[in-house]
Amino acid sequence: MIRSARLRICLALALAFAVAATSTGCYSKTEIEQTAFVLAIGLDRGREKPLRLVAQIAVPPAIAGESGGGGQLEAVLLSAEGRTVSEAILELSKVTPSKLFWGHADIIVMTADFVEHGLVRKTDIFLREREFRPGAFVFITHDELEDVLAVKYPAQPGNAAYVQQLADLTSTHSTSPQAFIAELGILISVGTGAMLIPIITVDESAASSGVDKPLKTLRLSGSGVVNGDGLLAELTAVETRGVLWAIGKVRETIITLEDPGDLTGSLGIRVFRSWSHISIEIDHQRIEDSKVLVSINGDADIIEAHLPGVYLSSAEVQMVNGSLSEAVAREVRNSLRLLQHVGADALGLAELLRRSMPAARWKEVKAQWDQVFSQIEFSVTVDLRIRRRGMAA
Amino acid sequence: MKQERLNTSQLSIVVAITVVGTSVLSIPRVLSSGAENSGWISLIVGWAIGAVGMVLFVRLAERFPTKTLTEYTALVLGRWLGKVVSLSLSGYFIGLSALYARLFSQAIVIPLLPETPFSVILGMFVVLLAYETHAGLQSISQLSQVFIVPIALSAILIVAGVAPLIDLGRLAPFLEPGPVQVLSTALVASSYAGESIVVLMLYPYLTRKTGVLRAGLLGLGIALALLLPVVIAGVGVFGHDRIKDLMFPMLSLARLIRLSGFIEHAEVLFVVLWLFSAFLKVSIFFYCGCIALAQSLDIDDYRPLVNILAVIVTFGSMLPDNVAVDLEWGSIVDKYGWLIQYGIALLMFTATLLLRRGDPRDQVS
Repeated sequence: MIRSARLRICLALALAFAVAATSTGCYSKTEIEQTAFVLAIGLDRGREKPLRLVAQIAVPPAIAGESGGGGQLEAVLLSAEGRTVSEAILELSKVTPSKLFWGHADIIVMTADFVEHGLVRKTDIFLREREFRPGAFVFITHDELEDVLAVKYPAQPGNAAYVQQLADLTSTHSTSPQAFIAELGILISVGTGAMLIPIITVDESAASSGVDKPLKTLRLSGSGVVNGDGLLAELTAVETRGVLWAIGKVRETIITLEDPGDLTGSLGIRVFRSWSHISIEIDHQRIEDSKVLVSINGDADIIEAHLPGVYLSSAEVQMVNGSLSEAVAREVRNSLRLLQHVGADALGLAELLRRSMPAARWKEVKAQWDQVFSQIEFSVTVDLRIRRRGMAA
Repeated sequence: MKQERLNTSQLSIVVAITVVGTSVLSIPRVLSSGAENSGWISLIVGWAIGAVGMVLFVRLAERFPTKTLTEYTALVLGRWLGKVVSLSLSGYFIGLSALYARLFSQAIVIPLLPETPFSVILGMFVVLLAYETHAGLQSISQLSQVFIVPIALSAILIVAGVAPLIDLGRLAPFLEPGPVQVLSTALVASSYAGESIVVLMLYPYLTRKTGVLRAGLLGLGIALALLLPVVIAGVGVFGHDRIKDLMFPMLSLARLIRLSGFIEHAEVLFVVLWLFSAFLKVSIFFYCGCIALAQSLDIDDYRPLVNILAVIVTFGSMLPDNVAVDLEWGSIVDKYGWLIQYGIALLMFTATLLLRRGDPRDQVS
């Protein structure tokens, strides 16, 4: 009897302890109201220090549409300067009443001025520090960071979501690349090659006329070619697409053909699938005489045709195929010439060469790679084929 | 003590977990540091060495089927030299348990729970370790049987998740750093496979003494099937230059998973993999260390030693001042582990042949 009473007391105490231990939360908890969720990051050159960090911090009550949520602001922009990103974060912490949390920062916008001065030692924290997202999208801008990070689009919950959607949907036009911070970090640490980063600008040209207050939008316009040394060149939308064709990253795009072949008029063609293959015919005696073969294939639809009296028979479609392929080949050759001119190996040719030769030989080639890359010959072959011609017979 | 029983299929899983256990965390970095883009070749060659080592372990164990390695060292080498060797073995198992317990805590604290004191994770780990070791070999082997599934699934899902990012061309050219470097790194890989030396401590507990070699080789095969894709994915995604700088390459791979912009931050897969595999590996090592010490000191039951050794493991884990010291110690174990594992087995096997030791009546035909 006494034993069972003791057992009951022990069980009750154990239960009380278990309830107490599990209902009090973690000892190092941070309440959600005391957390500053950073949604986007801006990086610029500072006035007093080498680096200026802009953080777009969410105001959750405003996003949730609650009253008293800090007016209309869905996010606030705060900035701080430092010699390094971590020093700027430290400065930022001094003015933020909540603990900064970087795990939601999916957008990193860098000013062109910041990139031009080199990226070595500026991206390490994004790969090293656990809170940052390796898959965060990277952009370059010529505008003020505060302007870019303030533009909102009516149907989007906030600026960061808007920018992320723009990045996600680059595959629908393929005139702007997708770039991730992890990719940039690896490029900089490995030290060879270059990559394309989309340029984002504040734009009013898309606003409809007749509106009192013109709608500001963001526009992805081409790309910057970047390596550890900085911004090597800026490419227009078409030049960017030329590079994307070559590296097989054109998912979907629209091309307008004027007077294709012997036909008179214009065609709107939607390429809905493409792929590429890059290989090198290496001349081991004189490496600069090596030849890079770029082969691009893909399928397309005719979605708009203004060819009076033309039925688009199989022979005519064949003609369009030729014109389309030639137009894309021109685009690619033009872009490759530009890359060679600025010494930006965005095709990863250095890596391809490294794979195809002994390490000792590659060391020699690597030492003179800039010169080799500028002299190397490209042979571009494109085979795009029209598969459908829309609903019209 | 030898009432505990282990069957051959459990032995395969125990060997696989012992080998995969902690190596899965850093093996792409370790092999790329030595053999650059040919780390995968070093891994395969290292495993070939490990397979030969397994033959050696099993042939040696077959000569003393009712005794563990630490029991017959005294029979073969004489009382004093035998005791020195068996105490060294005990030190090897306990030392590695401490090192791996440290690694376990670090891999949880650095990327996942940075504000939790390292000692809290370590303390919980060691309490569980002592509890598990008290429960005995059967408990460890049955847990291994259950958790091999989530361990394998997590590894497969991480590799599958980053599959679109893998560029197999990064593995070319074949044998780029030269055969000498690839072979010397293969010795490092063989240190991982050589951790299957636990077979020599577990052999007497096997219910059947036939098919042990096959079970051991199967265990090594399972480990290779899990580690090879990890090494190839690591180099294929990051390239050998970058992966050398990554503290936890497996975790970095998991962080890159991004499916349709919806599934991201797959660290949970890493947590499942790491929690189970590292804990079970250290349990097996710690258990072997406990029985090795008990037998070296002629104590019938290892259980009274568990708590004392758990305290030693705790303090041993706290010895490295920082993560750099820990990595340096780990690299010494990776570099020279094979000397201890295969060296002791070869020494004992040669001595049994030359001195005609072993009980012929006990030997497995």
